[in-house]
Amino acid sequence: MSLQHRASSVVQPALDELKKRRNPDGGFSLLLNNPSRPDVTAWALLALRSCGETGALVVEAGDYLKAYQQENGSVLMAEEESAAVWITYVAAWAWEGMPEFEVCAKKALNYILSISGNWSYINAWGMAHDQSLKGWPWVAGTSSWVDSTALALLALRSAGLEGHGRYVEGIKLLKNRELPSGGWNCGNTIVYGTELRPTPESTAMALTLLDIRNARHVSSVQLLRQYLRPATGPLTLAWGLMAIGTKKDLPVLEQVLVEQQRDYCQTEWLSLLCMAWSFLTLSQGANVLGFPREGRL
Amino acid sequence: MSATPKWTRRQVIKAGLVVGTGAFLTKEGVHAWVHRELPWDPAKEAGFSSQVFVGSASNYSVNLSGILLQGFHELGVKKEELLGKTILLKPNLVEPQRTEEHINTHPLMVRAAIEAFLHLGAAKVLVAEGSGHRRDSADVLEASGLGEVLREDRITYTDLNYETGYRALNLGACTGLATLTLPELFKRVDWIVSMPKLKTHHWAGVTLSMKNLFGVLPGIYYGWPKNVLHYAGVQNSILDLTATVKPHFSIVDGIVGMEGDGPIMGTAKDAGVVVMGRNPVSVDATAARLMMIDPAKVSYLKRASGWLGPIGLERIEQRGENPASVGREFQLVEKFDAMRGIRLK
Repeated sequence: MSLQHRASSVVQPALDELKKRRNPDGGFSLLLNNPSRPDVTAWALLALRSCGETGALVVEAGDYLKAYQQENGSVLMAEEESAAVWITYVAAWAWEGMPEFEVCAKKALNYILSISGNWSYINAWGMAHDQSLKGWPWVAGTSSWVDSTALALLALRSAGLEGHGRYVEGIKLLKNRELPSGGWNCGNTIVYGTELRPTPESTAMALTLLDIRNARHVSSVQLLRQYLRPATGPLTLAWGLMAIGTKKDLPVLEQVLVEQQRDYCQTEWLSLLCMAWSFLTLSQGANVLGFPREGRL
Repeated sequence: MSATPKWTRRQVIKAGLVVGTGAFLTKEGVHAWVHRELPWDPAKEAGFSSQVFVGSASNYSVNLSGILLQGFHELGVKKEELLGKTILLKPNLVEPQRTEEHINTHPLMVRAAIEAFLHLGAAKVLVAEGSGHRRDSADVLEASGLGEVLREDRITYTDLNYETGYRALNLGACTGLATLTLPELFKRVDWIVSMPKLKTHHWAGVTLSMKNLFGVLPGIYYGWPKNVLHYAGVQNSILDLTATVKPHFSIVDGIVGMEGDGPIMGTAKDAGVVVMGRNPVSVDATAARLMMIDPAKVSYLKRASGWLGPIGLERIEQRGENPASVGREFQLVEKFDAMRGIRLK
């Protein structure tokens, strides 16, 4: 089957389903017939752009997000929820490369570079990881975690900031949080002398940013490989494929894409599956997402 | 507006039962305050007495819904209270691992609760959780085994981590957080039932129906884990959540619990009990005693006593099994501050 045919038969229905969740305000909802939300809109914008969508659809989604950007550059769920800053990471990633939102993206990136995680409050809790590595939190003023740090790093990488000190330090953090036996937990390694268990989604997100050919990550890659199957949750599968997937994994992804393009699938998951598909099949997908393809596939 | 679609069985199976709901968000946020009738009166409970039922179950294959129905009967939960009501069951699925089923509320205990509530006339039973450490709720359901049960029973699961929230006044005022952002779904249910696992906890001493409420807060506002609550103080947060969420009922899965380095890295402990009641403080105090832990030495239970509910033996009317005869000593790890010196003498 040609790539073009695959695109029309597999991804296009998923994109159509995504578009159904678009509201007149330009934003996207978590499920059909619900109000728009900035976090969901950022994921949908990433998915649509990575799959080649242009024009009013993506610009209006970008505009919707812009309405949630604060003076300091952060993008929030609502003004009252001023601490949940993680949406800024996804918004910056989604805006990157859109000329209409160059200023928004820059403000968001500056905000990202201005904040960091904090571990000082639980020094006594027996954490083994290097607490001097700052990384990024989900919520301002709290600790850095693997997934939130990965999202911030993906935003910085898409903007070409791999040389920035904060980026370099963030990568160090991810390496430091790798479990001795392989994989990543949501953020800790050894607590009170006991090595924690890995979780597949954190393992997948960390590996999207690391050199998967490096011998130190062999156990982690092997662990994640076990999850690249249809029974895995869509969020884990999508991130896993963007971390270590190859074209050989396309049938699994396409099976899940077909299953999930229903009105009950969360927009974030559907978006991530579309992003994984574009990453595996389209050079444009990798470009929009800021994923270096060379040496990964 | 309800975001929960009407599903066919096939759709339910395909969906893995995960529903995110996203109603009511505006750019300005949501200011609706929900004032539900208290299922238990803290002042009255603190000053007077509470009833707690302890059932005995050797394993998950026994007639668990029968035990729960017996418990409802003993506790005076009548059909008239539940007729036509929507019940939300909140199990503990903090970090499901396929090989470690003692971490989470057992799926067959959830099934038993579904059956019991429907038997007593509830119109609808929902299951919802905001997993503390996992963002992929489809995988959470599969790893925990709950997905299979809910598929068979055609019960909707809602991932609370992705729920749009509303800001509720923090009625506990222990943390300094003025409000708590609760899931919109709470506005559409009549009863919230906390369904924890019987476990020790290295930061709280024990984790039961009160601590289980950490999982109701949406991750999109509180992160994964709900690290805001760690910063605000684990014990303080437990009290604030109990005072604000006001769960209507608690059912503790103590058939197999966890001892030692809970809530995740501890070891399985056969305890063979189910603990139920309307007041979460009294239920947790009884559950602690079943672990041979003195509730008066668990910081947050001691602070809740006389405020959110009674913990003293003289104020808890025990129904069913006698806790003194069915209790088992759960291993405590003395190097953890929260577990030091809390053993029941």
